[in-house]
Amino acid sequence: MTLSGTVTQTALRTDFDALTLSLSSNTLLGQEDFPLTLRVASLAVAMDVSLRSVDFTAPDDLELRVLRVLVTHTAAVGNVTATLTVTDGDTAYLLDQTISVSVASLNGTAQASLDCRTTTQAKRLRLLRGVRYRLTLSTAATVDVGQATLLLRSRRRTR
Amino acid sequence: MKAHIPRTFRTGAIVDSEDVNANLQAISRSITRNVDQRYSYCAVSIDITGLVNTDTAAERTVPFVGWSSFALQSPIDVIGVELSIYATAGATWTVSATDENATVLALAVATAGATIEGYGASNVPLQLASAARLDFVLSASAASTLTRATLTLQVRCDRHAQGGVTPPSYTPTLVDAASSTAAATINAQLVLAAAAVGTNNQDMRCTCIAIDNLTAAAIWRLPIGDTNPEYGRLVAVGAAARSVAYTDGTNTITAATTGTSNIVVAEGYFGSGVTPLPGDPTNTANDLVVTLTPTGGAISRVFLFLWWS
Repeated sequence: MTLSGTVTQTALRTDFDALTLSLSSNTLLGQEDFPLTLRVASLAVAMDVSLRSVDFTAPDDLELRVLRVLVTHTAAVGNVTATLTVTDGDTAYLLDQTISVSVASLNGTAQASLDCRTTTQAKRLRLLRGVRYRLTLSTAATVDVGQATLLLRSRRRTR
Repeated sequence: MKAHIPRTFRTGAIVDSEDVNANLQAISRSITRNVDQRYSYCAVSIDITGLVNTDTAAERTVPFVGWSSFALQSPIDVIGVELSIYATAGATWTVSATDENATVLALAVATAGATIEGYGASNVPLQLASAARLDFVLSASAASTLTRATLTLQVRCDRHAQGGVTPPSYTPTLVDAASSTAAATINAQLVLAAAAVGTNNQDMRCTCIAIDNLTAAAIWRLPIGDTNPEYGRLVAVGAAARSVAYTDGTNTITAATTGTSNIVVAEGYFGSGVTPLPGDPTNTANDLVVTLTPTGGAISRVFLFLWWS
């Protein structure tokens, strides 16, 4: 609020609270999410892993927010699974956790299942800078389209 | 980092100019710390399938494009490049790029087998002006077909040098208790502080959707977290007189091809007219639903770069 006349405690408190809130919001904007997606059309059981996976090295520490599998197919055929692993198989970098999520049934529309780590009691997991991770899709039967998505959070860093 | 003010003005307490000054100075320090936190990182993964060494140069090019028409513009740093390839052994694939500073990347990776990965990485730093394009050209030493490859760019956005504009700082003019215009003085300081706080607060991340031989409409569903899509650039390479269109239900971008030797870039800005997206990534109803639709026939290669903040 615009101050005038006698400066009151209430007016000052309101204005400084607004500034504090704005600063906090600005700071939080430095912690934002972005998706990394693997999409495979005609995902098949026998498909070589090279055709249904994507590898990437984390350029900075990234917080794993969501791992999601989403499948579109015309009939119920079985599970489709998205898995996050370390490319060289060293499970220590994922704290020996299995990071995997499956859709149990398919009915012709887009079906999704997710491992969400944004809830209060979810186990937080950090993908470490310089470690190479692999996102993989696998299926129990051929499906029209499989999509695995990581939602990752990076933070603003100092120079 | 937290934005603190050391003094709270409680009803009934004395309004002391020293308390006002302490708060203004604390805000100044918080702003300085905040704008000092400048780098944001992301991994841009670009899928490639079915690339043949005899494809045209345009078809063998991955054109990484920044954003433009955006109020806050930064140079973009590519701090690392990874190339992962699957192809029958017998050739070496090289990814080459020359940035605006004439820095040259030449990363060679030998093929190891159709189902055995060949992998290489480079930390040669490359820079890209915000609205420009940085071409990564793939070429092979012998006849070869990449059954599958991934080019991963480790991208760093620096929100400091935004078009040469230095981030605003704030140095308070302290309030004098004897001033007869205290209210106006404090007011002016609050306005200046608010302006400095609210500016220069966007950090960019990038996602790439890439598809080869787009023959029919294809859909991606991207969860939205604590972020918003700000800007999109659609790149197409294909036979002349074809087009590919992007839509997310609100925004549309169309790129019309002019031949497989040409790279056509179309762009869209989501900053205006876009419905703000809810931040709950667990609800698929909140997804950004990306549809890429070809018209006139198959499009050889399509890249969609989405910038988020």
